[in-house]
Formats: sequence, structure tokens, C-alpha cells
Amino acid sequence: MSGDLRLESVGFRYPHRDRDALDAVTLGVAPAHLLAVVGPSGSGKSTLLRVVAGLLRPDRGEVRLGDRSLLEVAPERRGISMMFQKPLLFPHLDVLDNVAFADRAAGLPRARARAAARGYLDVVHLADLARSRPRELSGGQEQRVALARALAARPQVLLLDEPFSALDPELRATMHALLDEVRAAFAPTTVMVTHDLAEAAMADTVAVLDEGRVVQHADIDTLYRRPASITVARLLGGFSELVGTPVEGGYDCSLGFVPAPSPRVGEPAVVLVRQELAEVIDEHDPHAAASGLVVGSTRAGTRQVAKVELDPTPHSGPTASVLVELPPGVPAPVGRRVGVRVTGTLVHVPSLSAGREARADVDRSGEGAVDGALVRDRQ
Amino acid sequence: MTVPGGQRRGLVLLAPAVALTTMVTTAAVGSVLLTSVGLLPLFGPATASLQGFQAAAPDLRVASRESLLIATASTAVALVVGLTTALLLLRLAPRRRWVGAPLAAVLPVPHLVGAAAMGLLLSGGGMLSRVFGVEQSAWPELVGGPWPVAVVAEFAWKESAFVAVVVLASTSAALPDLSDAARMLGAGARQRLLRVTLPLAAPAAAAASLIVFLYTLGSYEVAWLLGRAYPEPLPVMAYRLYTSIDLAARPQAAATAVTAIGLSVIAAAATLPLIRRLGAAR
Amino acid sequence: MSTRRAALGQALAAVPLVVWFALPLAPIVLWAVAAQWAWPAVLPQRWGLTGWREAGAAGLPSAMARSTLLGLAVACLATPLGAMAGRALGWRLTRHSGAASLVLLAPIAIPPFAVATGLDTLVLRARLPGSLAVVLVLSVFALPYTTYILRAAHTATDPDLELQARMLGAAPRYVLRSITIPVLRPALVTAAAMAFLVGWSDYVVTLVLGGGRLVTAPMLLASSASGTGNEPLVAAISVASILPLLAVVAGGVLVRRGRRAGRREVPA
Repeated sequence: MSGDLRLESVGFRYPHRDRDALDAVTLGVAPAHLLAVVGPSGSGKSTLLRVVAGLLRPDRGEVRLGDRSLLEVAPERRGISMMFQKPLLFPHLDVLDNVAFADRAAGLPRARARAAARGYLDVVHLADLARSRPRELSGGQEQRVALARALAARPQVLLLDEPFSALDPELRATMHALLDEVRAAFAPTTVMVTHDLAEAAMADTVAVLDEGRVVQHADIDTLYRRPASITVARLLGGFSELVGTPVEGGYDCSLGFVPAPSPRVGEPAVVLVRQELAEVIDEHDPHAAASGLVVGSTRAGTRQVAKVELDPTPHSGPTASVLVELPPGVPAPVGRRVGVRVTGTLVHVPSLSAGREARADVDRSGEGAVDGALVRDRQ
Repeated sequence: MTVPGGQRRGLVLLAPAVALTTMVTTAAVGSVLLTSVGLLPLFGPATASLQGFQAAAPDLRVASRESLLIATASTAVALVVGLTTALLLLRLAPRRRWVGAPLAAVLPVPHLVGAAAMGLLLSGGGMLSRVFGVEQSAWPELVGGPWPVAVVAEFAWKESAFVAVVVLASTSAALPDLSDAARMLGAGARQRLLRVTLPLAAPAAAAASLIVFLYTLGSYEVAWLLGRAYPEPLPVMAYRLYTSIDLAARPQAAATAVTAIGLSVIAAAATLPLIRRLGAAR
Repeated sequence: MSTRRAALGQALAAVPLVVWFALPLAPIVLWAVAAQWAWPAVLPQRWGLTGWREAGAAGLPSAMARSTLLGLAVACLATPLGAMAGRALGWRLTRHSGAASLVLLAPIAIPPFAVATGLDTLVLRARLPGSLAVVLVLSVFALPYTTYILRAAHTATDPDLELQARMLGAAPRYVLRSITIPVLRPALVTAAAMAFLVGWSDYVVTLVLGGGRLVTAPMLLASSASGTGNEPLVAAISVASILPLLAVVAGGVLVRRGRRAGRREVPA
């Protein structure tokens, strides 16, 4: 049940719009892999799914499943099944007939289709609701039936369009666990559009879309460690942005000097700091890169994230603040002055050409590594 | 979200209905208009003239008045009775919903049958006169009398059921919740009626009333069966002229039809903004 | 205590309304089973089926057959057209919804007699069969209702249901059979019933465009009712004109009640 899905330079524009919804999108999903697609609103995530589904025809590019092109194939014949944000259960059929729908559409007699459907209903642990009507089900139950129904189509590729976003967090966690079970049992090639980074973290790889382009395609750890652009960093959250002024050998920012191999004269950069890589120490500690005032805090599970407003330096410009994740159980010293120490930063330089960004990856340990190219998808 | 390609699909889906309606109505209205001004004669040259209107003018005035009288009276009674029925049914406990059964029985009755029924009920010697034991000579002329009582009664009877059903359909879903909310805000039964139920029912009641007015303005068979020869409403006059042996009456028949269409269009155009405003006020 | 009074008030108010709706039907029901009912008797003196015998002789069965065919023809034309238009309007598939709605609702403001007399000579010149003209015109008058009913139904239906069906492997024709029609069935039935009623009840369009040869039940009724002393005949035709429709309405209500009861018995 696992296909090898590839998009090659897919472009699409909705009629009467002045911007491409998808621009030169190239992605590959290996058999049985789960690809999460994330991005800000309007970035083209749903459009991408609909192009793969066949509901939209791309203006340019190629969509392949295995070695055959899907462009001329109607949606119902692609071997691709899709689950939407709403469960969309057929109200005039009972649960079992809903799950059996794909088999019935394929011509199987009702009894056989219903028998096969029972198996899929078992997978989502809803076998005792087989004869219920959709309107008698709760939201979570409806989504589970929808999942069973999509699986019962035995697709080569499963597309999920934010399928759990309407559920409450506890229910969502249940569905994540269910999805894991399903993947273990059936290993479908899956593409999932999501807003939830915890969901994206379940995936084998994550593709970040922005304004119709794939900005980065990598596993979630790489995304956190080396976001390919400011947009990616902002999407992931947990990064502080500081203005970096180019000086000899690097950039100056509110946290002091950051060495970088080839600072472009006259071009300010953005220095990104992960909140886990910053720590709060005593103001007068010699290791402190800068000092400032703790102005507020937010919660992240058992930890607090303190927002520190840094003292202005000659090169930093207007006020800069940095987010610092504190160890579990430690309260944020709001209103107190502290020092900030940083163990790793990233420097992003907006290049002259069309918003592409070079990266300078700097380690405080001095080993600096530079990679000036955008990370492309792993092909 | 507009589906790409949906625009064209939408137009394709609309085309047959719109085409049929446009063809039939423009052909009919155009033909009637041209005939009324002499441009579509049965024989002879087409000469534009207002002969049709002029010859029919005195009768047209009387007929228009009669039509408007019938339409206004029928609509008023249908609205009051229909609205009252709907409000009553809305407040009835489910056990007593069978009260609505006669309502459902009236809806599928054709108007011609209703007219026949009214004739049997209201004429001298009809059922009502027997129930009250009044002799034929003493019984008022409700059918074919100087006032179109039986005609208005038939329209009011049938159309009150229509108004009731339309109002029920549009308000029964939302009313319980809104009524509860009002009750929690301290509104008594009368206040709930005036401030919740009636405003909720208003758009549907207004739309239904307009439909009733337009229908009764243009209806032929009821006035033909239950009315008298003079004064006659516009549809009856038009048909009489249309089937007259005197072929010169054709333009007059057409002029009558044009008058009826004109009155209907004016009534619709005048009332639609009000209906839209009522609907928007929700 | 006030609820008791309110209930009594409601009961009192209900009585005149029940009388209002039921009373006019009484004379035709009584005359339909009366063999002799002379003035001043309040109830028939002799019961019998004279009216029905006369109606049979006057051609009631074939008139009803023609009425049925006319009703079916109007339903068969106005329902699919109204369904398609209702889909385009209810799902807002086009920017021209307003103009299209106006056009489709316009026939309400045009009296049927005007349309019939206006088209009569055109139909004759075009050598169109009268019955065809009647069906076309009556369909145009039924369209506002079918379109409205199906537009409301589509507004209440999620267009993505059909999309979902395709994404489970269903070809468009299967989607129509298995999803579109079943989901819209109640509205389709109601719309078809209304269109049928328009065809079944019409008088003036059949009169003018039917060429006098299309003798439907209303035509039969009109010729009987305009005479005098025909009460049993008129009553029989009237009852015959109502009974089938009443049966359908009653049947629909019973079916719906039975289905609801059946559903409650299914174990959760």
C-alpha cells in the first residue's frame, strides 16, 4: 500500500490571482514515509494537497506515483485517498457503509464490502459503532471513522489536510497515537498538512512552504537546528531575533560579537538565538555576553521562558530582547536584572538576490561552519 | 471558496432553467406588449396605436380597482389568519400538533376546487345558509354579489394555509433557543411575542404576503367561478376580450394583460426592498 | 396555574382555526356521497354515489389520467432544472447569483393568463403541440418553487461531501447515484411534489394553450361547476382532485414517522 510520490517543479496559480499559489515545488516522499507540510496561512499547503489529489491541475511541472505520471489521471483513479479537516461522513449511510464506501465504489458487493470494512473499523477501535449513524457520533469518533474510511480505500498515498485541528488537545493526542498504530500496521505513504508542530514532529520529514515555495525540506531536528530562513524560524517558534551589524570578522549584536566567515559590509543580518541555548546567569558573571532586565515570562510545559530586555549597545540599535528557557521548576526572576549567556547562535544574511538567505552556523566552541546554500530536499 | 472551474460549472448548471424562463417570459410579455399597441395584429398591417388601451380604458379602471380590491383583501386576511395559525402551532405542545392536520389538508387543494367548495358553502341554498336556516332570498349575495366576498374568502382560506406553512418553516427551527434566551432576560410571554417571535417571522410573512398578493392579482379561475360579470377583475376581463368574436378586441385583451403585468411588477418592486430590509434586520 | 389557563386559551383559539380550515371542505365531502340533499336539510337526505356515476360518464378517469400525466411532465422538467439551478445558487458557484435568481423568480410577478394569451398565437404559428406548450409554460411557473427548495437544500449540504467521495475512488456518475441524490432526496421529493401540484391544479394555461382538447380534471370541474344543479358531480370531481394528493401527503407523514420510530430502536 505504499507508493513513491514525487512532485517535480510544480507550479499553480488560481485564476484571477496575481501570484502563484505554488512555485517550482519539488518534493519526494519515499514509500511508507510520512511527510508533514507546514507553513503560514496562504503558503499553499492545501493547494499542494489538492494538486496531488488531482482536484487541481498544475500549470507546470509533474506529479508522479512510482514511475507513472498522474497528471492525466482523474482523482478517483489515482490510488490516492484524502481526509479533510471536517470528517465529511455521508449522513445517509451508517458507519459501516461509510467505511465500506470505497469498496462499493469499486464494485464490490455490499456484504463483502461491509465485512472488509469491519476490519478497518477495528483498527480505529470503533467496531461497536458499526450500525450507528454519523449524527450520533462525537467529533473524535467521526474523525476516527473518517480515518478508517480513508484506509479502507487501500490507497498508495494517504493525504491528510489538517485532520485533527478541530479536536481538543487530548483528543488530538489520541489521534496521534492512532496514526502511529495505523502507520505501523499499513505503512501508507502519507502527506499531512498541519499547523501543529507536535504533529509535524511525528513525521519522517517536514517541508516548509512559504508563498508557494518550498523553503526547507528536512527532518524536524534539522529544522530546529538549522532553519533555512527567518520564516522557518518564526514558524517553529522559540527563536529570538537580534539585529546584527557587520564588522570585521563577524557581526555585532546586543549579545556581543558573533564571528562569521564573510560578513557583507553594509548589510545587516539577523542573529537567531534558540531559547534553549540561552541561559540566565548573574549579572556580573564574566561569562555573560550581555545583561538586561527580565520583563516577563511565558509557560512551556513545566518550564518558564523568560523575556529579557537587553541593555542597549552601540551596535544594537533600538531595544532588543531575548527569550531564555529556564530549567524545569525554576521561576522567572521578573523585574530583576540578569546576565545572559549563549551557547549557540545562527546568523542569517538577507542576500541581494530575491530574498534568498545564506546561513552562517556558528558554534561558541569556535568551530564555526558556514553553509551558504539553501538546504534542498534530500534527493 | 470558489472552486476553480466552478464559475463555468455554475453557469452551465443555471443555463437550462434560465434559458427556458427567459424564452417563455420574454416571448409572452413581448407578444402581449406588441399586441396591445397594435404591432402584432392577427391580420393586416402592423400599425402602432394606443387603440387597445383607449378602447378598454374605462373598463380597465374598474377592473384594476376590482383586482386590487380582491388582492388587498385576500392578502390581508390570509396574512392575519396564517400568521395567527403559525404562532398558535408554534406554541402548541407536540401532543396537540394534530391541530395542524387540516392545514396540511388544505395545501394540496387546487384553487378551482376551492372555488367550487366555496360556492357550495356560501351560495344561497349552500351549506352555510342551511346551517343558519336562512332562506335563499334572505341570504346575502356572497357568490356573484356586488362585493367579491366568496372570491376573497376562497383566496384567504387557501392562502392562509400557505402563509402559515411558510412562517412555520422559517421560524420553528430558531424560535425555541431565541425564546429561551429572551425568557432568561426576563421577557414575559407578550414581550416575547412582540420582540422575538414576530420579528423572527416577519421576513417570511412579508415574502409570503407578496406572493399571495401577486397570485390573487393575476388569478383567473376563482373570480370567474365565484364572481359576477361586472365588475370583473383584470384576468376575467382579459379572457373575455381574448375569446370575443370581435377580433378587434384582441388589442384590448392585450392591453388588459399589460395592465395586470404592470400592476404586479410595481407591487413586487415596491415591496422587495422592504422584504430585504426585514430579512437583513435579523 | 397560568400554564393551565394558557393551555385552555390555546385550545379555545385552536377551535375556530380548525373550523376555518376544515369547514369549506365539508360541503364537497358531503355532496360527494349524497344522492339527494335538498334545501333546507343540513345533512344529505339520501346517501349514494350519484355524483361518481355522473363523473364516470363525464370522463373523470381519463381526465384524471391526463392531469396525472401533465403533473408528472411538469415535475420531470421543473425538478431537474430547478435542482441544477438550486445547486449553482445554493453553493454560490457563480458571481451572477443575483441576476439569475431574479430571472428565475420573475414568473411569480407575471399572471399566468397573460403568459398563456400572449403565447397562444405564437404557439399556433410555430405549430407546437398544445400539450407541449402547456408543459413548458407550467414548468416555468413551477421553477421558482423547485429552485427555491433546492437552493435551500444545497445551502444546508456540504459541497465537500462529493469531493470526499471522489477522494475515496468514486467516479462522478457513482457520486451522483450514491451521494448527491440520496442526500438531496427529501428536497427533490418536495420540489417534485410542488411541481406536480402546479401541473395538476392548473386551469387557465390548459384552457388557453391546450386548444380545448386537453381535458384535465380542472377543465372537467370548470365545465360542471359553471352549470347549475350539478352539485354531486362537482363534488365527486373535487374529491377526486384532492384525494390522491392527500394520500401522498398522509403517506409521506406516516413513512417519516415510521422511520423515526425505527431509528430509535437501533441499539446505540
